[in-house]
Amino acid sequence: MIQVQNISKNFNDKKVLDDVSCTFEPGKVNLIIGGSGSGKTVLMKCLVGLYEVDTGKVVYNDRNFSALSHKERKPIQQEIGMVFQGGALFDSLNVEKNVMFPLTMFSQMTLPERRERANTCLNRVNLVNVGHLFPSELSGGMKKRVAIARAIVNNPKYLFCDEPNSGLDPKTSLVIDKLIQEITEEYKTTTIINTHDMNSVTEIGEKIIFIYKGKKWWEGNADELMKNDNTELNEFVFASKMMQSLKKV
Amino acid sequence: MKSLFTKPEKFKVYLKQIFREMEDMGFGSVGIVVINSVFMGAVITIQSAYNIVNPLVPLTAIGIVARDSIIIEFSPTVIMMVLAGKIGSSVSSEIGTMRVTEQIDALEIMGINAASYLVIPKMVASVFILPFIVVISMFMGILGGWVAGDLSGACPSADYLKGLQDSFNSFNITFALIKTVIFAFIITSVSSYQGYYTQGGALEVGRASTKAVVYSNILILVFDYICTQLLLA
Repeated sequence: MIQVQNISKNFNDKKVLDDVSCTFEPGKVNLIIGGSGSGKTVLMKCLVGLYEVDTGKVVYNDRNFSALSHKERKPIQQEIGMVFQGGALFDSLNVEKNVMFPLTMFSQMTLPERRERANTCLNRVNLVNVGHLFPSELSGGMKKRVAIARAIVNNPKYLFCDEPNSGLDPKTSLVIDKLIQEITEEYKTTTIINTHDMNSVTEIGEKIIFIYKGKKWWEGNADELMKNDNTELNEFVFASKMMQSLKKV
Repeated sequence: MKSLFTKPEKFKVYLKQIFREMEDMGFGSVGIVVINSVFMGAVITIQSAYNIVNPLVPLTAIGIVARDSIIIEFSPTVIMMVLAGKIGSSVSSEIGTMRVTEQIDALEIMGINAASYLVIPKMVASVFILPFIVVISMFMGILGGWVAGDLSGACPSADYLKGLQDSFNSFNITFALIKTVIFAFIITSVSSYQGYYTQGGALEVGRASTKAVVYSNILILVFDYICTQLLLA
């Protein structure tokens, strides 16, 4: 479980996160939604330690992550898997080496063991015989799947996904969503997804947090989202005609 | 800077990276270094011959001038400035691209000291491999001068070879290699810094790359003067 307690973050004089508190539960797909510039990416970067919070704290299973030094954070960071918006695969490594990378750096596994584990993870994301390819040779959807394979290779307790569907067609988006949901159930991870794809929200959102102007504006599940009476949230969720028609139904 | 010199996560991985960088920087630079050195040696020889108008000055002076200017200045400084363009822009754009495509963030989230993982192998590799490249440059420069002098008739082989052996001071080579090590460190550290702190997109990666080359060249010239003042004056 990850607990966020009253965190704030400023860049120069601009308040980007303002007293945000929430809890992300294990074995569930937790979604952070919000418009562009609302602060959801900053929130995620604060959670994983890429940004330091100005006030408040992030707690991973009773361990105050915000108070730890970089060295002390390492054991927690090794329990984190992250899927970046663009995949963030290492250009100089092929797919297999990309997936093996966390194991190469931190495990005592032999090369055949690492290979086997990497290929198991690649099979899990439905990628076969692509280990020799380089990131530049992959499609957007394949890159995302390799990134997911790399994120789960260490059996993470916490899985973070930053806009996993951006730039993907609706069908591939659905495949990625389902994959993340299945992995969350299979590995019992605390999964946190940053998204503004309403399709994902209605399909896999077990717990949804809406960030508006740097504040936590609303919290609930997909059913509650469809019936809410929050003006700002409704403006965001039902902006498209498709979502408006869904509400009428 | 402090985070740069912390203990590596896995020494074996760093060692592999160092060898990979040595291959890229070393073998990848031989071609351009050989071409530059041969032609520059040839030009130095022909220009020296052109400038010696006094019949009392022996033609062996051309060999001495070519040897000393190539060993003391041309190979360690000019070739390192050429390499600042080649290696510096490559290092800066590689790290800069990793920054803007979140690859560095990915390393940091895994708990890897990204600055150390990316920069140290490049620094170590350059400091070890570039002196060899500079020695190749010295050899090829002197060879280019010999061939050009002989073919053009500006300096017969016998005079050139005699000049090469006249009043040779081996400290000049030590001096050149000391400069090379300093310049190698400058190129990789300045370029890595520019790449690591890139913010934005492709345009900023290009700008960082240009800055890396410009700053490296300026620092090479400044440190060339300092080294000359300290070691030769």
